[in-house]
Amino acid sequence: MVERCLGCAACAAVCPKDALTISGGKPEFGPECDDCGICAKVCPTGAIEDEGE
Amino acid sequence: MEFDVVVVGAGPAGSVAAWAAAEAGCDVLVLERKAEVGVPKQCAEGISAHGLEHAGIEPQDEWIATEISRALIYAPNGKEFEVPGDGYVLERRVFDKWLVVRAVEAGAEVKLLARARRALVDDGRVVGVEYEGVDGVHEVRARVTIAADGIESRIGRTAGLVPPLKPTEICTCAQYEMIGVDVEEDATHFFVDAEFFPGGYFWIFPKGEGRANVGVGIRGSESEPGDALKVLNRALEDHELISEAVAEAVPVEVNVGGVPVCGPVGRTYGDGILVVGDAARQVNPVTGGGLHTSLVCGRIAGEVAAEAIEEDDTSATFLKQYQDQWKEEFGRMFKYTLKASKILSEMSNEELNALAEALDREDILRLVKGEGVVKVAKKVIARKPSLLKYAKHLMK
Repeated sequence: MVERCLGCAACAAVCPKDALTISGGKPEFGPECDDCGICAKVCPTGAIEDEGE
Repeated sequence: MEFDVVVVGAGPAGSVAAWAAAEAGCDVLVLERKAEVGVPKQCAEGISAHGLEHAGIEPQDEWIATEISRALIYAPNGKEFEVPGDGYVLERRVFDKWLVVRAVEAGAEVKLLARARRALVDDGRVVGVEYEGVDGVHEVRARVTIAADGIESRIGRTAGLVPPLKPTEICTCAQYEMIGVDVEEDATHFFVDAEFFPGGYFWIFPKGEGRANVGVGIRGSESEPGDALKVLNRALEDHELISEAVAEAVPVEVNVGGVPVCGPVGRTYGDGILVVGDAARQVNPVTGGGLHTSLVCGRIAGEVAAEAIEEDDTSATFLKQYQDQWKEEFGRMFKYTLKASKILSEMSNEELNALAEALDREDILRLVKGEGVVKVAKKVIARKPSLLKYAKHLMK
């Protein structure tokens, strides 16, 4: 996932649980994450899809 | 550390706010997460001449890539509209730096690689922020915190002012800066197509001598992982008009980002805090443009923060002036463009083509600016009764 993530934070903006922050230009998932997948849906490059695989 | 004002984010909204507050005599600190102000760009870089003037910023050769005199909008069936209007395509990496330099020259301090993590809240009042810098985690106390921290807005969120965006409220965007693009360079180009670009549009913004920002935004609710980039690549190959324009073009930069298209958050102020720019979702929901609004709202935020400090009253009651003032400038525009955006995002290609037949360029300008929208709705009903259900929404 690292290669495709450009750190734009669209994922963090839609996270309903506030579980995602951008750290070091990459998403960091907190314990509140319940795998709802909204973040992956809006990711422009598909970087979070890779993470789940 | 203690300051009069801490500004989180050195994008256009933050830098202008810092500039205005510092110029009014405040002790200002700007925190910027990235290593370089203005990089990477997350923007198609267009602004109207009116927008710059409204923000009180004199155009500078160093950050103007090219001058624009009109917009060309293409309906799904290829019908072309010319909407006259002067504007610029900027070089954001130069523009953003130029703005932060203005803030520094006015006396503001800037800290790079400083990631603000949360608002410090004391008895319901924001008293500063916690940030992570290269040398660990620190607290900065400030009498006014200005959250200009972009679409993610950790500060707006942890202060309780910025809720998460729903997928319908965001456009997910991908863009190439390309060389060798063959379009008329005195115009920005907008391609509308509900099937190709659901809930959004495709743009080509020329930067001169064949260089251009070529990108797309689609609605988050219509997107699957990675779609923005996939749709961008597909359009370059398959869209009749676009593929022709980029047949010889080569990308030299990839940009991605999310654009809030839901209109501003309900409350952009609180005790000790103001929220501005993308963080406050001060973005035109039809165009996705946020430069003009961010610059003007940023200036208002900086000025109101400075007055609050001067008057020694940084309560929500005093800081509400910021919201009153930006609503004075943009309230009506946001109200009508939000309606227009919702309607446009629901239309099929057939309906968009019918709409294109019913409208002239003045009407399009009204929809984009949110002015005289009811007049447009009446005309649509008279000319295309099949669009009644959409036009009715505009009249409410």
